[in-house]
Amino acid sequence: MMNFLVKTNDLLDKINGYIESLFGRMKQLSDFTYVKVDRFIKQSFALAVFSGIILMVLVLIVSLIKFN
Amino acid sequence: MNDFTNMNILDGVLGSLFYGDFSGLLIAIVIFIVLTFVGINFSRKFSSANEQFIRSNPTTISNPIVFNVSAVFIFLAAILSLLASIVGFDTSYFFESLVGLIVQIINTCLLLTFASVYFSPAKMNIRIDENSSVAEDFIAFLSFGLKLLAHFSKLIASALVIIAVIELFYAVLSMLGDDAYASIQLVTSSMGKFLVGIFAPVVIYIVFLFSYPIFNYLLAILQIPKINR
Repeated sequence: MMNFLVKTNDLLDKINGYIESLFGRMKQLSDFTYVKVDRFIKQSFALAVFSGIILMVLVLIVSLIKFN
Repeated sequence: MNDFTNMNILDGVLGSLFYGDFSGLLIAIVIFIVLTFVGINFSRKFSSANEQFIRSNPTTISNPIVFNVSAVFIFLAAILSLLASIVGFDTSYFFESLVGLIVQIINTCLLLTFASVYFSPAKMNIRIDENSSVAEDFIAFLSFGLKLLAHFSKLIASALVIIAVIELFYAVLSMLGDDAYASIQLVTSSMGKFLVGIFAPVVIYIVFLFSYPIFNYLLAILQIPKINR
């Protein structure tokens, strides 16, 4: 009986260890995404701003053609 | 109020356009470009100020378990929603499903980014201190949302600007069609969204400036019993 309880406890510890390592992997993946998103945001912001300005100039050109 | 102002600007721009007068639109575009560049300058300064706010306002928690559990739930929500989107991909509606999947991938990346901060509360200047009282823990949890807003001010700004640019692109395409009024309306709304995005760090700074002192006062009250101890 005592032996069974010890084995069950060991099994629980093992499962707990697996879950902990899974959480570690989750953290790694989240941190990786955090770094990538941060880098992407820095690059895409400048691109989006210039695209916005170019599109506004395009709006003016299209309006000139369309409404004139 | 905002809609009313938008409509007035819109009516002014449209009215002048239909009469062949482009000066209104030209002035609007020049103001837009000037505001954009001034806004970027302010935005950069205020983004650094927001980060400085976080650095100069440390909080403590006795145990990070609540943040870790929240991080696991956010992570699982991100992965499960992505899996649901992949499983639900319908080839008979390929384009709609593809757009839905791309939006879901972006959503998952954003959720994982948030999860990363929850996994490491130190990024928000939250120190793990065993001597932290329950009240200090509570203040750390309450102030976390505000710190999150300040930390991601650049991300929020970029997201709004990108959404506005996509809308603007769609507006330019639809301007070539028949419904000029709707497309000009879309142009003005996306211009507004664009400028809101540019100035988002400034707005977040003001929100932080007027809201965070409440937590400082509460923390100061908690320090009183520790004086002369």
